[in-house]
Amino acid sequence: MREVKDGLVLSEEEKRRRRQRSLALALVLGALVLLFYAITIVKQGAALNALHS
Amino acid sequence: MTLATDAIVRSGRSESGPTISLATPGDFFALLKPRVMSLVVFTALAGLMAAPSRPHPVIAFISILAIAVGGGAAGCLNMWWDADIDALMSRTRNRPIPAGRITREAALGFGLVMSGGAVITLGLAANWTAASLLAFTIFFYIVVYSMWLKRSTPQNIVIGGAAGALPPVIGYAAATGDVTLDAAIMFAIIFLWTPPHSWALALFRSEDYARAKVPMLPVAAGRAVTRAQILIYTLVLVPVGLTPALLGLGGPAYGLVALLMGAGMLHLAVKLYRERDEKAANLTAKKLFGFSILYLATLFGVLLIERIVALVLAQGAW
Repeated sequence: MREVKDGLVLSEEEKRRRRQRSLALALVLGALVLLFYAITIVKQGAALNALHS
Repeated sequence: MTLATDAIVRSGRSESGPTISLATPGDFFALLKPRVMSLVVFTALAGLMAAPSRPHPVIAFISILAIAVGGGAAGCLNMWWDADIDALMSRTRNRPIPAGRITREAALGFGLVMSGGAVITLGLAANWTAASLLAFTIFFYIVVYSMWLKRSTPQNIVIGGAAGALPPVIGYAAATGDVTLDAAIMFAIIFLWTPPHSWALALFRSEDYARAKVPMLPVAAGRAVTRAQILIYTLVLVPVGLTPALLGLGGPAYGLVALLMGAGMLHLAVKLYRERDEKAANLTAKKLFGFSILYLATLFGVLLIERIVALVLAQGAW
């Protein structure tokens, strides 16, 4: 059995892969923030234009 | 896949204790079937551009992105469901789940989150008609095709092909909030293209499908019936492929390309039907499979180019 007495100790490879996944997730979440910001601006812009025309 | 690997894939635990995933972001990206996703992007973009009204470029970009992610999520859920048969087929055994790089549970979670995210994003960015169509496409591909039809009938890809035919309709609906005859024609082209395309592949991969007990037409009804069915569907597909030029959806360039490419499809389908030597038939099936991809990409590509040219000529029309 793998030693889990002092908690699961990650190998260097496991740490590296987890770091890669965390970074990818951070980038996706950041892109989502920008995406919804862009949707908001475009929708608000269109609504404002309709209001003033 | 060995029984031990199968246990690891299904439970996420190794025999030597708990494990930390070694999956890379690339493995999760592979779950989205990037090559299928590129065809989804292409046809959805053609649908969006073919619409009489166009949304703001940012909304158009986000809509295509959401449709692509939704299509990818459907591919991911399909890999979750079909992991057992993927492990038996040479074409699919290196996919992330059968190869043991990602657990089925992780793929299910990833697919569901991506599906929900894509549908909500499309609804908020474009409209809820397009979002509902995207949700229906994912449901149809997973529940109707993967879970129900794929393992139970040789007509699996005929009916299931509806899921692959919907992206241009979703693109069109994202632009207009509506589904019209133009969108239905684009749907019909992909719907009728799917059987000859998939059965050509099934002809030269029939051993794979037989091993996995998937009743593709060559396995369930034989090679002669499959070749005849490919010819029948191609005979219907070619004139339907010309209809955009007749109804004004496509221009003269589209009409010419559809005619030439249709002649190419028909030539290969007839050659395959007449071929009696099995080795030569496999070679023709491979050619037809490759050419069918080119056929669809060219038709939708020309449709797209014609719209872009018209847009450039009418500067500022967006």
